[in-house]
Amino acid sequence: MAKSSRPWYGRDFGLSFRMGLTMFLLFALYAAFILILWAVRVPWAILIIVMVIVALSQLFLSDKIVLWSSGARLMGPQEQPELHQIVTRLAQLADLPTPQLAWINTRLPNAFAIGKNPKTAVIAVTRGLVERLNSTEMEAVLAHELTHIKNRDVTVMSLASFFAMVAAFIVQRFFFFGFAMEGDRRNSRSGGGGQAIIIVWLASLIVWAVSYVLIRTLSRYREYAADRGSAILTGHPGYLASALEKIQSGMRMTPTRDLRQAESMNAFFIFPAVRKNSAMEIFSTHPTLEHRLNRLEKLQQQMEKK
Amino acid sequence: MGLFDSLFGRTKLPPGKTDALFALSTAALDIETKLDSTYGAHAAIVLRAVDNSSYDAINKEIHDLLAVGGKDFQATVRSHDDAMGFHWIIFEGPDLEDAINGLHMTADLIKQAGFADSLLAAMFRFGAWYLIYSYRRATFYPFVPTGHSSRNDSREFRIRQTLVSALPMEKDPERWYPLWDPPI
Repeated sequence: MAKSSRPWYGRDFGLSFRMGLTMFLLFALYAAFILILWAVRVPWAILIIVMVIVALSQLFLSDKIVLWSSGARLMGPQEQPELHQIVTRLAQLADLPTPQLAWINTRLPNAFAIGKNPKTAVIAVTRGLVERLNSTEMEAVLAHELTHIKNRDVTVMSLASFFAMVAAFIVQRFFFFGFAMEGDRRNSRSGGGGQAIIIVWLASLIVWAVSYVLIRTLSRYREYAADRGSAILTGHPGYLASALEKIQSGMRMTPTRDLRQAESMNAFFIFPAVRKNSAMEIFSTHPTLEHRLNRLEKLQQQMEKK
Repeated sequence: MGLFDSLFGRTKLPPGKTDALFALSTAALDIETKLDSTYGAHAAIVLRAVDNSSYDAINKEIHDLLAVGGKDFQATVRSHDDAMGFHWIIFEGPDLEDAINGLHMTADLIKQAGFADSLLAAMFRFGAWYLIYSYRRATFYPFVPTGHSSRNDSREFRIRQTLVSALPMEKDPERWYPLWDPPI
């Protein structure tokens, strides 16, 4: 069989490299954290209990709970048939099972995807989004969400934040943790004392803070990857660019109260619900609109060169 | 797409697989005898359009080539852009063989130009139902629409059962992606 030529969209080594580096740094940070806990001889039993609590909270706080707390309602194929048609075409192109669609009755224009694997994935869209976007822009947003599903972003991000949550748990529930550790120590006569507890607390605090920045960096890279996936799937980077601009301008017209209600969902949204880009980009889950539009523009130029 | 592509967020669309399409030539007899359906003189290839001038050029080249045809090539060719930005190249003519050859030539040209990922599906009409070939998965599946968004599942399963020995049929019904209101 004749080998077909390189695809028109090429590859983005830079993005993959930075994503890999961020994941490596997180891994190194967590490994160092475990080593410190091991070095000061934190009793395994306590650590395992904390890890089980974190794992359970991750399991139960994700997916269906997010869907339910956002007020989303699953749609049948007869509702919004055009959306179903678009998402079916995109799924066939991406070779994924067609995800279910859910509807959120709010003026806030936004969308998100959840699901640990493509078979159970759900894409939720808001009324504000459907009212505001035309069909090509809608296609671009659905392709962005479908790329999140393909990249298994829910799983990747919950794995990436697992030890960060363990560290946060230790910092926030220091007294519980300290007493448990002290009690265990007395029983086993292993000595050590209060110093070890302070070290554990400080290490947890540092891991929590550093991982916060790393996780948000990873989240931004994965947004870029989903934007890129949308451009590749739709064949038109411009569709997503115009959708993102409309979403941002729609956000400006949304009452602050509605934005605040949606804030806890920001990490999931295609575009964060904030009044202004007040926080620095390094602490935010999404790149700025300007940066995202620049990337899409570059992809468009790259396409033309081919 | 593999685990590493997911982990590093790389989107690589699997290129279209075109060769399994020829299996339909030999299965045509089974469709006629066992399913009592004849080829409905309409077939189409469904392409996702790309916003790129070389894509436009290859598209024009395909249409020029198909318009000229050959002396054995009886099908007439027209194109259709649907509401979702997909480009249909439609082959009308009584001979299934012509349609298969025309579709294959089209897909080959698209592949050579580097747009193998924009091949979505090929569709063949058999009376009131359709056989769809998925370029992603190199499999066929039946599509029996009964309205704008409803389909006859049990008939589709029967068709699958009948053709499974003659054609590479898609096993997973979740991948029987509907193509509603086709222009053929």
